[in-house]
Amino acid sequence: MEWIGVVATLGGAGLVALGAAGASLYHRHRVRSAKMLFDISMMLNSTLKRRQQMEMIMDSAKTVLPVEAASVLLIDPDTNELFFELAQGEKGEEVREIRLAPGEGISGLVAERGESVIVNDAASDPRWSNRVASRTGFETRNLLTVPIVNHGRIEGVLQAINKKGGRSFTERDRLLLERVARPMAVALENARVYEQLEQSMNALQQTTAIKERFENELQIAGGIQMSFLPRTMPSAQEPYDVCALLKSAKEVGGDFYNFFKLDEDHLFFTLGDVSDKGIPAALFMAVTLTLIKGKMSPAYTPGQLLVMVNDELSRDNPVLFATIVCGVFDRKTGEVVLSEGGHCTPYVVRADGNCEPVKLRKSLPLAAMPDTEYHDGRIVLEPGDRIVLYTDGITEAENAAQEQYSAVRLQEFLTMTAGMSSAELIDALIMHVYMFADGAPQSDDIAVLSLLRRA
Amino acid sequence: MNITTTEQGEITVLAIEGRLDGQHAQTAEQAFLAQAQGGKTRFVLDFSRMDYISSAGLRVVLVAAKKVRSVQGRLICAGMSDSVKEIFEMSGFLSILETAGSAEEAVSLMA
Repeated sequence: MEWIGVVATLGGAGLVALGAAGASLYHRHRVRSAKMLFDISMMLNSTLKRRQQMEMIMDSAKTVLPVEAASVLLIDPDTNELFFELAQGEKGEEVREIRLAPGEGISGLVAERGESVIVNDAASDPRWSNRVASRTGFETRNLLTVPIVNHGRIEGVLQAINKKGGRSFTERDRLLLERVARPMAVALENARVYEQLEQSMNALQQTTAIKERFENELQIAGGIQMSFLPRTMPSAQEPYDVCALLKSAKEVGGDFYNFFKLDEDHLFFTLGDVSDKGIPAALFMAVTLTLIKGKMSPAYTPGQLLVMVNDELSRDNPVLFATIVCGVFDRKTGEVVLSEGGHCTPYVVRADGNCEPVKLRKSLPLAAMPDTEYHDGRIVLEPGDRIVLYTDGITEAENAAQEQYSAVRLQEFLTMTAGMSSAELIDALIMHVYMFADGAPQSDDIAVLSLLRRA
Repeated sequence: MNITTTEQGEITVLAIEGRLDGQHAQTAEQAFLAQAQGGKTRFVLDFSRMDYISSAGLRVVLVAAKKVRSVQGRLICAGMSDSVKEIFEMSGFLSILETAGSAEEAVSLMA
């Protein structure tokens, strides 16, 4: 008798003292009924799918009582109507969709008052609603209806219809069906919670799918953006060493650089920063770089180039602008002609490590204002000298204490870079900035360009 | 960031406190545009309590400067701290902006 212990945990007071030898007929009956109820409860909680639970409930009711059909009617919390979630039995399939008005029929009465009702002669009972019977042709002889109550709230009713053998429903049947209905309420609530959880999960899954697709597109956009940057660095045979790096804070960013040879002796280079991040900035950057590449030729100075590019960009009163530095390096003389639009000060690092800001006449960022003038400035790189361009993602990189890396730290760093190749300088600088930020997330795009005249 | 709007006769003074960065740029732009659309043409932007301005913040000032120019109004940026002034200097915006040491000075310049 394995189930004895189980029954005891159910709290049946009369069973605790039960000895295997002294089990009377009465006790045997109580034990059987208790085990059955426990099985129902276990079974109900074995699934969280409401439809499966409902079928189990019907089956249970029919196991407990010999009846032709059983049905569960739930209260629709929005309308207070009772509706058939499911009905089993020979005609069970046909009553699934029927709804009863609040208080309609015996089910409505039970749902309203929370008290069970036995009707042994349905045809002559004035409370009996004929609607279901006439819709399905299922002849109701007698019925037992009990409420399903959870924490004092009536969730619906459980109904057993037509006791077999032409017999009447008794008070004992009522007690039994009420006990079947008790665990149902909790199980139904669990199922409802599960259903909501499932809906949330589905919604989350859809959101995640959309997000993944968006991220995927962002990555593609990032790839397209990188394709605007030069892929090959000029050969080691050149008398100069140019290298640049771009690290976007998001998948795509607004910083940019480029360099390309204008002719045998002249190298064009540029670096800039669009006044935003993300896709709008990336598109603006692409347009800017395309215009620069398309318009620049050995016939123009950097200042003349910026005037032309600005005229194009500011034509439609755009919402973005781009700060920029650009220059042309003459490999024979080491002369660099530079122009700028609202960008942070470039530095020249001499062969001996001395670091000087390049004082250029300031002008407005590209696309800020039509008809803006851009000015040319000149410096000369002696062998071993270099020019370093960067965006404010470097100087405004913050640590956890919200201190900025600053131009002062950048200059201090640059004095230690004599003898480094351009690639080495950029690696070391990025490392220096990361060490300073000390784990604080990169909030802005970073771009650096180093052009070294080889010694 | 916090914006306080006061009227001094025909002149609207917008005092911007704290950080004017990407997070607050739109709020600041709307505060200005609401005044401009109400027919105001003379503005003082009081930066004396501004801690920091980012490129997104500069854009707001640029939008304001362009708008005022298009209606033949006047805009003065007043009370810039050294660090804020440096950002305006670096961005080249100082060349197109009229400035004053304080909001009071700016108002008296316009009167």
